[in-house]
Amino acid sequence: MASSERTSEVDAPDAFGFFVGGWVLATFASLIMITILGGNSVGGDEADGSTELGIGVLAASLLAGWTVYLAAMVVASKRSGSGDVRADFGIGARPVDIIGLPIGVVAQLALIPLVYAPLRAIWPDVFSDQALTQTAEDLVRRADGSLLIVLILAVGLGAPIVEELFYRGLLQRPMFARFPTPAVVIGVAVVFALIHFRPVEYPGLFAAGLVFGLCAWRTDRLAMSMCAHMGFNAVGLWVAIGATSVDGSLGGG
Amino acid sequence: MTASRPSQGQSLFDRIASERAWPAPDISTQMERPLVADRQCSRSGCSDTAAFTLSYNYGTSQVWIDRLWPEREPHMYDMCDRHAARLSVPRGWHLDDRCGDRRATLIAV
Repeated sequence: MASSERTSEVDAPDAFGFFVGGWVLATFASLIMITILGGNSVGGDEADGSTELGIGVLAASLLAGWTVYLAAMVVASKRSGSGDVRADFGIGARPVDIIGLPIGVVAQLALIPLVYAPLRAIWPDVFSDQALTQTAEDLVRRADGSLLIVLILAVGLGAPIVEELFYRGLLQRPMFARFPTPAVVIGVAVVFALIHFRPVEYPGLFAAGLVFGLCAWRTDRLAMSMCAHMGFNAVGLWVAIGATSVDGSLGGG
Repeated sequence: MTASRPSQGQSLFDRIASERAWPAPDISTQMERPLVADRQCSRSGCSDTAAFTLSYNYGTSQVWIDRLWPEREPHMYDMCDRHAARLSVPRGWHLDDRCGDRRATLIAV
Protein backbone atom coordinates (compact mmCIF):
# COMPACT_ATOMS: atom_id res chain seq x y z
CA MET A 1 0.00 0.00 0.00
CA ALA A 2 1.26 3.45 -0.77
CA SER A 3 -0.54 6.61 0.10
CA SER A 4 -0.04 9.74 -1.92
CA GLU A 5 -0.50 11.92 1.14
CA ARG A 6 2.06 12.53 3.82
CA THR A 7 -0.46 13.37 6.51
CA SER A 8 -3.01 11.51 8.54
CA GLU A 9 -6.64 12.43 8.89
CA VAL A 10 -6.10 12.34 12.62
CA ASP A 11 -5.58 15.93 13.73
CA ALA A 12 -2.22 16.64 15.33
CA PRO A 13 -3.51 17.73 18.77
CA ASP A 14 -5.75 14.67 18.91
CA ALA A 15 -2.88 12.43 17.88
CA PHE A 16 -0.68 13.93 20.56
CA GLY A 17 -3.42 13.43 23.15
CA PHE A 18 -3.89 9.82 22.16
CA PHE A 19 -0.13 9.33 22.17
CA VAL A 20 0.29 10.71 25.69
CA GLY A 21 -2.82 8.97 26.99
CA GLY A 22 -1.80 5.72 25.34
CA TRP A 23 1.69 5.92 26.78
CA VAL A 24 0.42 6.62 30.32
CA LEU A 25 -2.12 3.81 30.18
CA ALA A 26 0.44 1.46 28.66
CA THR A 27 2.83 2.23 31.48
CA PHE A 28 0.12 1.42 34.02
CA ALA A 29 -0.74 -1.77 32.18
CA SER A 30 2.88 -2.83 32.22
CA LEU A 31 3.22 -2.06 35.91
CA ILE A 32 0.08 -4.02 36.70
CA MET A 33 1.44 -6.99 34.78
CA ILE A 34 4.73 -6.76 36.62
CA THR A 35 2.89 -6.60 39.94
CA ILE A 36 0.81 -9.64 39.11
CA LEU A 37 3.70 -11.72 37.81
CA GLY A 38 6.42 -10.18 39.95
CA GLY A 39 6.75 -13.34 42.01
CA ASN A 40 8.88 -14.69 39.22
CA SER A 41 11.50 -11.98 39.63
CA VAL A 42 15.02 -13.21 39.41
CA GLY A 43 18.40 -11.82 40.22
CA GLY A 44 18.96 -8.59 42.07
CA ASP A 45 21.51 -6.39 43.64
CA GLU A 46 22.15 -6.99 47.29
CA ALA A 47 23.79 -3.62 47.65
CA ASP A 48 20.81 -1.50 46.71
CA GLY A 49 18.06 -4.01 47.26
CA SER A 50 16.86 -3.84 43.66
CA THR A 51 15.61 -6.86 41.82
CA GLU A 52 15.81 -7.85 38.19
CA LEU A 53 12.68 -9.06 36.50
CA GLY A 54 12.76 -12.29 34.56
CA ILE A 55 12.46 -12.10 30.80
CA GLY A 56 9.05 -13.78 30.98
CA VAL A 57 7.70 -11.03 33.22
CA LEU A 58 9.27 -8.34 31.09
CA ALA A 59 7.80 -9.85 27.94
CA ALA A 60 4.35 -10.01 29.54
CA SER A 61 4.61 -6.38 30.64
CA LEU A 62 5.71 -5.36 27.16
CA LEU A 63 2.78 -7.20 25.65
CA ALA A 64 0.40 -5.43 27.99
CA GLY A 65 1.86 -2.06 27.06
CA TRP A 66 1.89 -2.79 23.37
CA THR A 67 -1.75 -3.85 23.49
CA VAL A 68 -2.63 -0.46 24.92
CA TYR A 69 -0.55 1.28 22.24
CA LEU A 70 -2.43 -0.51 19.50
CA ALA A 71 -5.78 0.12 21.17
CA ALA A 72 -4.96 3.83 21.38
CA MET A 73 -4.26 3.88 17.66
CA VAL A 74 -7.53 2.17 16.83
CA VAL A 75 -9.49 4.53 19.04
CA ALA A 76 -7.66 7.55 17.60
CA SER A 77 -8.47 6.46 14.09
CA LYS A 78 -12.13 5.87 14.84
CA ARG A 79 -12.72 8.99 16.90
CA SER A 80 -10.49 11.48 15.16
CA GLY A 81 -9.47 9.97 11.84
CA SER A 82 -11.00 8.17 8.92
CA GLY A 83 -11.58 4.97 10.80
CA ASP A 84 -9.12 3.22 8.51
CA VAL A 85 -6.12 2.55 10.74
CA ARG A 86 -3.90 1.62 7.81
CA ALA A 87 -4.55 4.82 5.94
CA ASP A 88 -4.41 7.06 8.99
CA PHE A 89 -1.05 5.83 10.20
CA GLY A 90 0.68 4.78 7.00
CA ILE A 91 0.63 1.07 7.63
CA GLY A 92 1.85 -0.51 4.45
CA ALA A 93 4.81 -2.13 2.76
CA ARG A 94 6.62 -2.48 -0.54
CA PRO A 95 9.52 -4.79 -1.39
CA VAL A 96 11.90 -1.85 -1.41
CA ASP A 97 11.23 -1.31 2.28
CA ILE A 98 13.52 -4.22 3.07
CA ILE A 99 16.33 -1.74 2.50
CA GLY A 100 15.51 -0.59 6.00
CA LEU A 101 17.27 -3.66 7.41
CA PRO A 102 20.77 -2.69 6.22
CA ILE A 103 19.99 0.91 7.07
CA GLY A 104 19.37 -0.15 10.65
CA VAL A 105 22.51 -2.26 10.72
CA VAL A 106 24.61 0.62 9.43
CA ALA A 107 23.01 2.95 11.95
CA GLN A 108 24.00 0.57 14.74
CA LEU A 109 27.53 -0.14 13.57
CA ALA A 110 28.52 3.21 12.07
CA LEU A 111 26.21 5.97 13.23
CA ILE A 112 26.21 5.09 16.93
CA PRO A 113 30.02 5.08 17.23
CA LEU A 114 30.09 8.33 15.27
CA VAL A 115 27.59 9.97 17.61
CA TYR A 116 29.44 8.90 20.73
CA ALA A 117 33.00 9.58 19.54
CA PRO A 118 33.01 13.27 20.52
CA LEU A 119 31.10 12.58 23.71
CA ARG A 120 33.64 9.97 24.74
CA ALA A 121 36.45 12.34 24.07
CA ILE A 122 34.97 14.64 26.71
CA TRP A 123 33.39 12.14 29.13
CA PRO A 124 35.11 8.78 28.54
CA ASP A 125 33.77 7.18 31.71
CA VAL A 126 30.16 8.27 31.26
CA PHE A 127 29.89 7.08 27.67
CA SER A 128 32.03 3.96 27.93
CA ASP A 129 31.22 0.92 25.80
CA GLN A 130 30.24 -0.90 28.94
CA ALA A 131 27.73 1.78 29.94
CA LEU A 132 26.17 1.88 26.48
CA THR A 133 25.88 -1.87 26.15
CA GLN A 134 24.56 -2.34 29.69
CA THR A 135 20.86 -2.48 28.78
CA ALA A 136 21.29 -5.08 26.07
CA GLU A 137 23.63 -7.23 28.11
CA ASP A 138 21.40 -7.06 31.19
CA LEU A 139 18.50 -8.36 29.14
CA VAL A 140 20.52 -11.14 27.58
CA ARG A 141 22.01 -12.17 30.91
CA ARG A 142 18.51 -12.76 32.27
CA ALA A 143 17.45 -14.89 29.31
CA ASP A 144 18.40 -18.49 28.83
CA GLY A 145 17.00 -21.40 26.90
CA SER A 146 13.54 -20.71 25.49
CA LEU A 147 13.50 -17.30 27.16
CA LEU A 148 16.24 -16.23 24.79
CA ILE A 149 13.82 -16.88 21.93
CA VAL A 150 11.23 -14.75 23.70
CA LEU A 151 13.79 -11.98 24.09
CA ILE A 152 14.81 -12.14 20.45
CA LEU A 153 11.18 -11.99 19.33
CA ALA A 154 10.39 -9.11 21.65
CA VAL A 155 13.47 -7.03 20.86
CA GLY A 156 13.98 -7.95 17.23
CA LEU A 157 10.40 -8.16 16.05
CA GLY A 158 7.75 -6.95 18.50
CA ALA A 159 9.34 -3.72 19.66
CA PRO A 160 10.27 -2.49 16.18
CA ILE A 161 6.78 -3.10 14.83
CA VAL A 162 4.80 -1.68 17.74
CA GLU A 163 7.12 1.23 18.49
CA GLU A 164 7.17 2.33 14.87
CA LEU A 165 3.37 2.15 14.76
CA PHE A 166 3.14 4.22 17.92
CA TYR A 167 5.94 6.77 17.42
CA ARG A 168 6.12 7.18 13.67
CA GLY A 169 2.50 6.23 12.91
CA LEU A 170 0.41 7.77 15.66
CA LEU A 171 2.71 10.62 16.67
CA GLN A 172 4.86 11.63 13.70
CA ARG A 173 2.57 11.23 10.73
CA PRO A 174 -0.31 13.45 11.92
CA MET A 175 2.16 16.19 12.89
CA PHE A 176 3.21 16.77 9.28
CA ALA A 177 -0.05 18.62 8.64
CA ARG A 178 0.75 21.27 11.23
CA PHE A 179 4.50 21.55 11.56
CA PRO A 180 7.56 21.65 9.27
CA THR A 181 8.88 18.23 8.40
CA PRO A 182 12.35 18.68 9.97
CA ALA A 183 10.79 19.87 13.22
CA VAL A 184 8.46 16.89 13.31
CA VAL A 185 11.13 14.28 12.60
CA ILE A 186 13.53 15.82 15.09
CA GLY A 187 10.86 16.34 17.73
CA VAL A 188 9.59 12.77 17.52
CA ALA A 189 13.17 11.47 17.66
CA VAL A 190 13.68 13.48 20.85
CA VAL A 191 10.52 12.01 22.36
CA PHE A 192 11.59 8.55 21.24
CA ALA A 193 14.96 8.92 22.97
CA LEU A 194 13.69 10.51 26.17
CA ILE A 195 10.88 8.04 26.69
CA HIS A 196 13.38 5.18 27.05
CA PHE A 197 14.61 6.79 30.29
CA ARG A 198 18.24 5.77 29.85
CA PRO A 199 20.19 9.05 29.81
CA VAL A 200 23.48 7.59 28.64
CA GLU A 201 21.64 6.23 25.60
CA TYR A 202 19.81 9.45 24.71
CA PRO A 203 22.26 10.62 22.02
CA GLY A 204 22.31 7.24 20.30
CA LEU A 205 18.58 6.67 20.52
CA PHE A 206 17.96 10.17 19.21
CA ALA A 207 20.15 9.44 16.20
CA ALA A 208 18.41 6.12 15.66
CA GLY A 209 15.04 7.86 15.98
CA LEU A 210 16.08 10.31 13.28
CA VAL A 211 16.93 7.44 10.95
CA PHE A 212 13.65 5.67 11.61
CA GLY A 213 11.70 8.92 11.27
CA LEU A 214 13.36 9.77 7.98
CA CYS A 215 12.56 6.31 6.64
CA ALA A 216 8.90 6.73 7.55
CA TRP A 217 8.74 10.26 6.16
CA ARG A 218 10.57 9.47 2.93
CA THR A 219 8.45 6.44 2.07
CA ASP A 220 5.20 7.71 3.56
CA ARG A 221 4.67 4.35 5.21
CA LEU A 222 6.04 2.45 8.16
CA ALA A 223 7.54 -0.75 6.77
CA MET A 224 10.98 0.70 6.04
CA SER A 225 11.28 2.28 9.47
CA MET A 226 10.15 -1.00 11.02
CA CYS A 227 12.83 -2.86 9.07
CA ALA A 228 15.45 -0.30 10.09
CA HIS A 229 14.42 -0.65 13.72
CA MET A 230 14.61 -4.44 13.40
CA GLY A 231 18.08 -4.29 11.90
CA PHE A 232 19.22 -1.87 14.57
CA ASN A 233 17.92 -3.95 17.46
CA ALA A 234 18.97 -7.28 15.97
CA VAL A 235 22.60 -6.25 15.68
CA GLY A 236 22.60 -4.76 19.17
CA LEU A 237 21.15 -7.95 20.58
CA TRP A 238 23.50 -10.13 18.57
CA VAL A 239 26.54 -8.35 19.96
CA ALA A 240 25.14 -8.53 23.49
CA ILE A 241 24.37 -12.25 23.17
CA GLY A 242 27.93 -12.87 22.01
CA ALA A 243 29.41 -10.94 24.89
CA THR A 244 27.16 -12.45 27.52
CA SER A 245 27.56 -16.02 26.35
CA VAL A 246 31.29 -15.62 26.62
CA ASP A 247 30.92 -14.32 30.16
CA GLY A 248 28.73 -17.26 31.03
CA SER A 249 31.26 -19.68 29.67
CA LEU A 250 34.07 -17.90 31.39
CA GLY A 251 32.14 -18.22 34.59
CA GLY A 252 32.00 -21.96 34.23
CA GLY A 253 28.75 -22.47 32.30
CA MET B 1 44.57 -16.46 47.56
CA THR B 2 44.70 -19.45 45.30
CA ALA B 3 45.88 -19.94 41.83
CA SER B 4 43.58 -19.70 39.21
CA ARG B 5 41.66 -20.56 36.23
CA PRO B 6 37.89 -20.52 36.18
CA SER B 7 36.55 -24.00 36.69
CA GLN B 8 33.35 -25.67 35.57
CA GLY B 9 30.41 -24.78 37.80
CA GLN B 10 32.11 -21.87 39.46
CA SER B 11 31.50 -18.32 38.34
CA LEU B 12 34.47 -16.14 37.61
CA PHE B 13 32.97 -13.46 39.76
CA ASP B 14 32.32 -15.91 42.56
CA ARG B 15 36.01 -16.52 42.48
CA ILE B 16 36.65 -12.80 42.49
CA ALA B 17 34.42 -12.47 45.54
CA SER B 18 36.52 -14.99 47.38
CA GLU B 19 39.93 -13.86 46.19
CA ARG B 20 39.75 -10.06 46.53
CA ALA B 21 42.78 -9.46 44.34
CA TRP B 22 44.66 -6.20 44.65
CA PRO B 23 46.38 -4.29 43.27
CA ALA B 24 45.66 -4.37 39.55
CA PRO B 25 48.62 -2.72 37.84
CA ASP B 26 48.18 -0.60 34.75
CA ILE B 27 50.22 -2.39 32.17
CA SER B 28 48.71 -0.67 29.16
CA THR B 29 51.85 1.33 28.54
CA GLN B 30 54.13 -1.62 28.10
CA MET B 31 55.88 -1.22 24.78
CA GLU B 32 56.40 -4.82 23.82
CA ARG B 33 54.10 -7.78 23.93
CA PRO B 34 55.54 -10.85 25.65
CA LEU B 35 55.87 -14.16 23.96
CA VAL B 36 52.49 -15.81 24.19
CA ALA B 37 52.99 -19.13 22.47
CA ASP B 38 52.79 -21.05 25.74
CA ARG B 39 49.88 -19.09 27.28
CA GLN B 40 46.27 -20.01 26.50
CA CYS B 41 42.89 -18.37 27.08
CA SER B 42 41.45 -19.04 30.53
CA ARG B 43 37.96 -19.68 29.22
CA SER B 44 36.93 -23.28 29.63
CA GLY B 45 37.29 -25.17 26.38
CA CYS B 46 39.21 -22.41 24.61
CA SER B 47 42.73 -23.21 23.53
CA ASP B 48 43.36 -19.98 21.65
CA THR B 49 46.51 -18.05 22.36
CA ALA B 50 46.17 -15.54 25.17
CA ALA B 51 46.65 -11.92 24.19
CA PHE B 52 45.13 -10.03 27.10
CA THR B 53 45.02 -10.17 30.87
CA LEU B 54 41.96 -9.64 33.06
CA SER B 55 42.49 -8.28 36.55
CA TYR B 56 40.06 -7.00 39.15
CA ASN B 57 39.48 -5.35 42.48
CA TYR B 58 36.56 -6.81 44.37
CA GLY B 59 36.38 -3.94 46.86
CA THR B 60 35.68 -1.34 44.18
CA SER B 61 33.90 -3.72 41.79
CA GLN B 62 36.43 -2.90 39.11
CA VAL B 63 37.69 -5.08 36.27
CA TRP B 64 40.55 -4.23 33.95
CA ILE B 65 41.50 -5.64 30.56
CA ASP B 66 45.11 -5.05 29.57
CA ARG B 67 47.59 -6.34 27.08
CA LEU B 68 48.99 -9.66 28.17
CA TRP B 69 50.89 -9.40 31.42
CA PRO B 70 54.49 -10.58 30.95
CA GLU B 71 54.16 -13.25 33.59
CA ARG B 72 51.23 -15.36 34.62
CA GLU B 73 49.76 -14.19 37.92
CA PRO B 74 47.58 -16.39 40.12
CA HIS B 75 44.87 -13.73 40.55
CA MET B 76 44.73 -12.67 36.90
CA TYR B 77 43.20 -14.36 33.89
CA ASP B 78 44.76 -14.69 30.46
CA MET B 79 42.32 -14.25 27.60
CA CYS B 80 42.38 -14.59 23.84
CA ASP B 81 41.48 -11.71 21.50
CA ARG B 82 37.94 -12.90 20.89
CA HIS B 83 36.94 -13.40 24.50
CA ALA B 84 38.60 -10.24 25.72
CA ALA B 85 36.74 -8.21 23.10
CA ARG B 86 33.39 -9.67 24.14
CA LEU B 87 33.83 -9.58 27.88
CA SER B 88 31.18 -7.83 29.97
CA VAL B 89 30.76 -7.61 33.73
CA PRO B 90 27.76 -7.99 36.06
CA ARG B 91 25.58 -5.06 37.07
CA GLY B 92 27.36 -2.86 39.55
CA TRP B 93 30.81 -3.74 38.25
CA HIS B 94 32.87 -1.45 36.06
CA LEU B 95 35.01 -2.58 33.20
CA ASP B 96 38.00 -0.52 32.17
CA ASP B 97 39.20 -1.70 28.80
CA ARG B 98 42.70 -0.32 28.62
CA CYS B 99 43.17 -1.83 25.17
CA GLY B 100 40.32 0.11 23.58
CA ASP B 101 38.77 -2.58 21.37
CA ARG B 102 35.21 -2.95 22.67
CA ARG B 103 32.12 -2.11 20.61
CA ALA B 104 29.14 -0.26 22.03
CA THR B 105 25.67 -1.17 20.85
CA LEU B 106 22.21 0.02 21.78
CA ILE B 107 18.78 -1.54 21.51
CA ALA B 108 15.60 0.50 21.31
CA VAL B 109 12.88 -1.26 23.32
